[in-house]
Amino acid sequence: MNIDWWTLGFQLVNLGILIWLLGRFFWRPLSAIIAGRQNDVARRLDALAEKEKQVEAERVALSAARTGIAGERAEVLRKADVEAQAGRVATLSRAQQDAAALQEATRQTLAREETETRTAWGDQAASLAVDIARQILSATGISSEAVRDTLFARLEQAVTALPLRERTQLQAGFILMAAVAPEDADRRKYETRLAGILGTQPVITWTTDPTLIEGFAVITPSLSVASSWKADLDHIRDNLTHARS
Amino acid sequence: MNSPLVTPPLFHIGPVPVTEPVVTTWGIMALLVVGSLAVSRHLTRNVPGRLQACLELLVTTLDTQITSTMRVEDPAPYRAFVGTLFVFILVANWCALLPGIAAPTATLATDAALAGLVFLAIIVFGIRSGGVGGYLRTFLWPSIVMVPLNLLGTVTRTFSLMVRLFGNVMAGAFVIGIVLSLAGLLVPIPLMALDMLTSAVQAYIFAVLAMVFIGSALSRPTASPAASTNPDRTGVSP
Repeated sequence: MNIDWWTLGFQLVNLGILIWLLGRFFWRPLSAIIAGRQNDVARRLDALAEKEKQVEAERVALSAARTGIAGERAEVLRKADVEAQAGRVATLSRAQQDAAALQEATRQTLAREETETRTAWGDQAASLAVDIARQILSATGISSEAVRDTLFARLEQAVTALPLRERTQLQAGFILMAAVAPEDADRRKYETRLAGILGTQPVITWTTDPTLIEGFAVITPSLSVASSWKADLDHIRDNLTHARS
Repeated sequence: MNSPLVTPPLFHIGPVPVTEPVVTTWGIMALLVVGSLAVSRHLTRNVPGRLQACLELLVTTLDTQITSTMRVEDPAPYRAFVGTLFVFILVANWCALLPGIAAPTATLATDAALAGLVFLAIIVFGIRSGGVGGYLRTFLWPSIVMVPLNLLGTVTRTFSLMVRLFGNVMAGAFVIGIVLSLAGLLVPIPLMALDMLTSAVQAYIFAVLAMVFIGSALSRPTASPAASTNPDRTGVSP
C-alpha cells in the first residue's frame, strides 16, 4: 500500500476547513432556522393553550352569568306575577269598595229622596185633605168652633177610656197641645171639662202646633192622646198601608 | 491503466505536488461553500421553499440519527462534523459520474484523511465529554484485560473505515471502467445507477460508523460506555 502523504495532508486540511466552513455557513444557519421555528411554534402553542384557558374561563363565566340571568329572569317574573296578583286584588278590592260605597250612597240618596218625596206627598195630601175638609165643612155650614168642640169631645172620650193608672198620671199635670191657640174663655172651658173627667184640676200647659191641622193632644212624658185631624189622617194612612200589604 | 494506489501529481506548488483528488476536493469544497452561502442567504423562518424544506429535512434527519445512534440529547456539537462527512463523501462519490472527473474517495489518501479525521474526532469528543481520564477509562471496558484489544480495535476500526470506503468506491469505478471498455457507451449506465446507490449507502455507512465510534468514546455515568455503542453490535457491516 502506497499513500501519498502530501495528498493525505492536503485532504486533512481541506476536510477540516470544509467542516468548519459548512458548520458556519450551512449547518448552523439551518439549525438556527429550525430551532427558531420550533420556538415560534412552541410559543404559539403556549399562547394558544393560554388563550384556550382564557376562553374556557370565559365560557364558564358566561355559563354562570347565563344561569344567573335565567335565575334573575325567573325571580323578576315571579315578582312581577306577585305584584300583578297583588295589584289585581287591590284593584278589585278598591273597585268593590267603590261600588259598595256608590251603591250605599245611591241607596241613601234613594232613601232620602223617597223620604222627601213621601214627606212632600204627605204634606200635599194633608194640605189637600184639610182643604177638602174645610170646603166640606164650609159647604155643610159647620163652624170651626163646632168642629173643635167635636174634636175636644173625642179627646174627652179617649181620656175617659184610659186605664186608671194613666189617668192618675194625668192628674199630676200634662201638656195640652192645640192646633190653634184658643181664647181664654175657651181655654178655661176645656180645662174645666178635663178636670171633670179626671176628678181634680191638673196643671195644664198650653202649647200650639199647627201641624195638628185641627184638634187637640194631651202629652205627658209617657203618654200621648190626640184627637186631631192629623191623627185621623195618620190613622187612615195606616189603615190604607195595612190594606195594601 | 495506472495503479489506483498511485495518484500522479497534476502540478507542483514549489516542492509540493498537487494531485487530482486534491483539486477535485477543492472544487467540491467551493461548490458546497458557495451553495451553502447561497442557500443560507435565502433562509426564511416562515414558509420555507422546496430547497429549504429538503435541507431542513436533511438536518432534522441527521439530528435524529445522531441522537438515536450516539444516545446524546444535544446533537449540535456533532452535527457539523458528521453531516459534513456525509455530504462530502456523497458528493465526492457522485462526482465520479461526471465525465473526466474521478472520485476523490477512490484514492486511498482521501479515505485515509477521512478516517484520520474520525480518529481525531473520537479522541477530541471523548476528552471533551469526560476529560482525559474519562476517555481513557473507556478502554477498560469490560475489564482491564481488554485494554490491549480495545487499543488495537481503535486503530483497526479506523483502518477498516478507510479500507471499506476505498474498496467500495474504487471497485465501483473499476467495474464501470472495465464494462465501459468492453461493452460500449451506454452499457455501463445501469451500473452507474447502481454505483450512485452504492455511493449513497457508503456515505451513510461511513457517517453512521463515525457516529458509533464517537459515541463509544463518550462518557456516560449511568451506563457502561461500550454497552450501547459497541460497533460490533450496531448491525452495520462493511
